[in-house]
Amino acid sequence: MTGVPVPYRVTRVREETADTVSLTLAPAGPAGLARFWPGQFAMVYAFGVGEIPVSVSRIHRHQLVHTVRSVGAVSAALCALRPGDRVGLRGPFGTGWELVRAAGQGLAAGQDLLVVAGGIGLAPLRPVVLAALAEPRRYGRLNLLVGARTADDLVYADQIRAWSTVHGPLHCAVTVDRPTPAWRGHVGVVTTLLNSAAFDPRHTTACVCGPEVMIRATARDLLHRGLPAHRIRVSLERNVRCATGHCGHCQLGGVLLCRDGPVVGWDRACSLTSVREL
Amino acid sequence: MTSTLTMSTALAAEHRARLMRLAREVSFEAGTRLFEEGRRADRFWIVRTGTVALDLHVPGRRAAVVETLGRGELVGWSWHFAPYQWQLGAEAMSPVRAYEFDAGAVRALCEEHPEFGRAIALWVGHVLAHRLHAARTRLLDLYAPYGSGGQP
Repeated sequence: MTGVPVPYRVTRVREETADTVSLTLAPAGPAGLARFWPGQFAMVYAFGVGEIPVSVSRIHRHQLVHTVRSVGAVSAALCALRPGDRVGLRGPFGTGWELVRAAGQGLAAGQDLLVVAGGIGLAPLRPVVLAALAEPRRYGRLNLLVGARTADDLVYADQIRAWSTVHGPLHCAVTVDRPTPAWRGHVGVVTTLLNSAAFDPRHTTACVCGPEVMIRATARDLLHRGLPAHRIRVSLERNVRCATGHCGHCQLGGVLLCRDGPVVGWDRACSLTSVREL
Repeated sequence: MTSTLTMSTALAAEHRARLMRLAREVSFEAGTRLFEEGRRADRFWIVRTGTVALDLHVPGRRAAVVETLGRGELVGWSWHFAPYQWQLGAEAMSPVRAYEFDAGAVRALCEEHPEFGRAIALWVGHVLAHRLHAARTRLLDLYAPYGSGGQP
């Protein structure tokens, strides 16, 4: 981890949707940042504009992929970048999904894995899916359930299409809130897909990311099905500034999300996400 | 949808067995219309395999799909409440296998056996409540750039 932004070069820009791009970044100098784990984030600095936290959506050797949605001044500047442009990166920050550690504790090893994503919440979860697909024998049944506003708002659409149609170790299902006439898939909230997933609630680790309302609904449903709260891992989002646990902007109750999160167990997150003032 | 919404977990074994005695196994090709908005709701289904789309007629456009239902889910609730008319249309999106029930026979059984009737009413009510909540959640447009529409 570094406190000073390290220069990275944009090597590829992929337009995911009308307002979302994936930036592939490589160190501009001889040394990059330390290794990132799925679920961790970097502070990405658009020079002259500002810095925002962005989860890694793919980790490939020394290269990092960050998927950014244009919703503000900094994210808009990042979405406007072109190959060859430079950004500053700090990180890696946060707890990550800790699948490896979880496996060591018996949380995920040999267990069914249930990945539930809403909207751009799929970005921090994609490395989980890729890691599981790289070593499917470590896990039981693999499930990816994705909710999106429309089919056009689906990030990594090509990859999802491949995962959905190829009979591999992964069960992948997608649902949308607003179907276009051409859409022939599921319509409804993402929790409706849980019935189509194959998992044993007593032996499942769930990773959930998306809007907080969606996270709460999914976690409650999974609890009801019998998943222990500590095996429901959720990625929360607050206003991260320093990312080093000093400024307190990302404080959620007794948790500093940049340091103690963004991924936390539902046993810890449940009470925090039910307080209106937080 | 929580697991308690499926008939197999929502109803006690005795009620389930009583209901299933009225079940008929049916199958539908993809594209088959199960029912039409405004028509008499004289049947209902529990999906075994496949997907059923619920849709709403919009003048001048194709029917708008508002929700899809899959394995274990109840297709149709209008049969349970007067005036017993479908509020939506339904179409098989894929080949569908389902249990079909005669609504009049189930209603008669509900009157004849109040405990059974109460269990069925609770089940249908639970399904309705869940679908209402899901519809309200979708009204929030959670995946839009600023969630419920207002910039923070």
